[in-house]
Amino acid sequence: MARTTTISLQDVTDRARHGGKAAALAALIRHGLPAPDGLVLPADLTDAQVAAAIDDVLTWAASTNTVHGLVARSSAPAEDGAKASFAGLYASRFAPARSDALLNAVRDVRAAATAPAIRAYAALRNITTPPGIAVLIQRTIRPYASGVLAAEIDHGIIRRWTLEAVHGLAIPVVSGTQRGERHHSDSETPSPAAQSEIILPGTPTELHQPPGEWIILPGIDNRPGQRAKIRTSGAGLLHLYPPDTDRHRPVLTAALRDQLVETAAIVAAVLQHTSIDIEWAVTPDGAIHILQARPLTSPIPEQPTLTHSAGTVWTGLPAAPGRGTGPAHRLAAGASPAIGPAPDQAVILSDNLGADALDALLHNPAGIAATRGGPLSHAAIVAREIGVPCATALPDDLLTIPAGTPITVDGIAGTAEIAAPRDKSPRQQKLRVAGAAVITRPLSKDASCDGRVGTLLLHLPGDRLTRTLEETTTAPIGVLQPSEQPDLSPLPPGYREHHLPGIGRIAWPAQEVAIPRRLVVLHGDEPIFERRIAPFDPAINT
Amino acid sequence: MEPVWNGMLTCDYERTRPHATPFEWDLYTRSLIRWPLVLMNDPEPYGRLRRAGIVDIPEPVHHALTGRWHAHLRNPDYVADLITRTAVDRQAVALALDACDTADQDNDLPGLTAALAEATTAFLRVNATHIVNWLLPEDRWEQLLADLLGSRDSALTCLSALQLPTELGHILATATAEADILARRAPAAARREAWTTAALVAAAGNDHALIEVRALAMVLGWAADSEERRKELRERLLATARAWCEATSTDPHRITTKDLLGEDRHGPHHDNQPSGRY
Repeated sequence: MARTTTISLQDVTDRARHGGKAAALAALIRHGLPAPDGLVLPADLTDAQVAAAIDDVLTWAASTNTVHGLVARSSAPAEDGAKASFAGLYASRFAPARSDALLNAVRDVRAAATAPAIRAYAALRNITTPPGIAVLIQRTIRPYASGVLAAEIDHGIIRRWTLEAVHGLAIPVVSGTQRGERHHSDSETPSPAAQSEIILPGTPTELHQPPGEWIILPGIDNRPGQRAKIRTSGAGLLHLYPPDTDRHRPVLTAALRDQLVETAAIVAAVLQHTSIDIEWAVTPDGAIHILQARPLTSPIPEQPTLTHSAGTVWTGLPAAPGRGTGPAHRLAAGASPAIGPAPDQAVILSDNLGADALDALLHNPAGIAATRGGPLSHAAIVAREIGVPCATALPDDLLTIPAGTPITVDGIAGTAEIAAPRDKSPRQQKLRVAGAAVITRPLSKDASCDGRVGTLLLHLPGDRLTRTLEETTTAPIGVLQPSEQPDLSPLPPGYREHHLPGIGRIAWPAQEVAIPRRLVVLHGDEPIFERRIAPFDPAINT
Repeated sequence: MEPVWNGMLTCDYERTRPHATPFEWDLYTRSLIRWPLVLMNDPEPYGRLRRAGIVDIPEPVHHALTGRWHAHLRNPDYVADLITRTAVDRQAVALALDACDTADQDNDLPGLTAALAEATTAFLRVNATHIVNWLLPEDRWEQLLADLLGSRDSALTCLSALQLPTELGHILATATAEADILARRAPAAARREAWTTAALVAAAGNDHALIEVRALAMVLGWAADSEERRKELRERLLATARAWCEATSTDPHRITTKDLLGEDRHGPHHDNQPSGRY
């Protein structure tokens, strides 16, 4: 295929044919800025021309280092424009430098351009999107860290900026699935990242390694990085568990951060923007790479005064029922000597709970929020034993919230949430005991003055009917068998058996005219479940 | 359990128990592979060992074995038998560890070695129950209870209430004022009782559902109890193994289950007995 179907990225000038992303990056390359070179498949190519051009791309790729594969990226005419960014709407695909894989990746990127979300976004912004999309193909960078940076520039000077950084590729930040380390021009202190997964392009050998094997992460300043375990891999990417030792280590040094901000200012000047939004990557040699550059289409947000604000929700696993709200009280599991008591009605935050947390647990905590374990973990079992709402397996960054922050633990939803000033209470339909028969297994003698019409002892089919029904209570006592078979005979004297269609059988005092029409189950004095008995003809039930 | 990758599930204790010794990883991986044998007399191994700490399970094997086990868990007779058998297994470990303690106090190294081999063999059976942490049919139970009780919230509350050990959990058991602890635990026991009753009444009239509710109530109590008691025995076994290492000048970070079972000295121990051996 003639080489004219593709164009080298640095030669791109036609935004309509090669897209906004490629046009911006090409301008940067021509000004000597560090954007990775690539090839562009123009927007007006047919599917057949694209298929034929793949060999051309691979020939170009052979001249560069593609050990970590190639990336096919959208470059639409309206993308990265001053009026609209189309951020996150178009697609990028990673692929090894093989014709079948690369062609599939390019086809995916081109197909994503017809997604309804893009049409809807364009209509909202009153933008016409021409058919077709250019595809930019670059070698994949394996970064130490990457992220996004937004800056506002006034006469060549950066006034305000914000930056978010993660280890590995920026996919988790760009997609919004994880929170990166956040830097802001208004603060010297960044807020830490909450990164649960590092995504890196893999070599063919690495991509054949199964989950559980180790990968050396890219370090910085050419130092080897930490080891990380493979969680899974696919589509050219490794998904890795961040090493524990990396969780609390800053992603960026102040020097690297400043270098990124200065680079953003230069990029803005080259592209003649007064505000700039760049996607960047830093490789182990400390080099900065600009992966995308566009004007900001919305103002830089204010620096939040807290890492988390009211309404922030962490989702884990439900472990002990109930909702409890109180000030956060952090416990470090395994601390020695004993951790000491939490204030009454505090919410205990912990990674997991051990025996040394017992003092705190016995000081009436309002809830327990743990970042480890499942429903059978220590924290969960203890919480259920002492009747405290508990959620487990919550994200680690829960432990970074300041002590005293009001937290609500929902042990049914399995969440922890920074409480609003007025905590919401669940609306439940109130169940009533009055007029109902209470189903119980052990008989409570002192509970018959709560308006119930009687008490029914639950009797499971196959068990022997051994309980006496001659207890001293003011309300009648009977037996409920939650199955229609077998019958309840022999009955105690003075009792009659009734068949309750769809429920089972009851033995009820013969002198009682009325058969219960409503059954309730109590937890303490509180009805937790109600079941109504459909009307039936007693004549056929005796 | 890691996500399915190329038709394979991976269970990686190196990641979930990063500070464990190879011996502890070995205990987990060996017992994981044989849980079908221990818990339901099924000789099909649950995957294959990659190394001490990592087991790979073909997805079809996972679905077949968990499917068969989940079917068993709907049968109260099976569950009652399971509870009895696993209690006997735990008792066997406790007795073997008692024998270890006696031998240690008597400075009887051969006796300690033999008793530790017995304890390790027996513990491999007990440790098979650790799969209750992620292989119970919780989604099915949640849906069943949601259908019966009328809401997902009620279903989750019920499931949570039922996951209460029959005896004190080992953290609460360390408390000195036992009467006070029992009093604090009473509401949890009452909650379990109430929600068990509610689930049974909700299932009334539907014999299949009733049987399944009876079974799941038993399983959930057993699972909580089993985990608490297993952890106590695991800590005792690991402490005894460390004592044995000290007595034999062996590095506790290098031993494997094989060393403690004495397979090199006496030929392999056979722990392929199905359930009900004891």
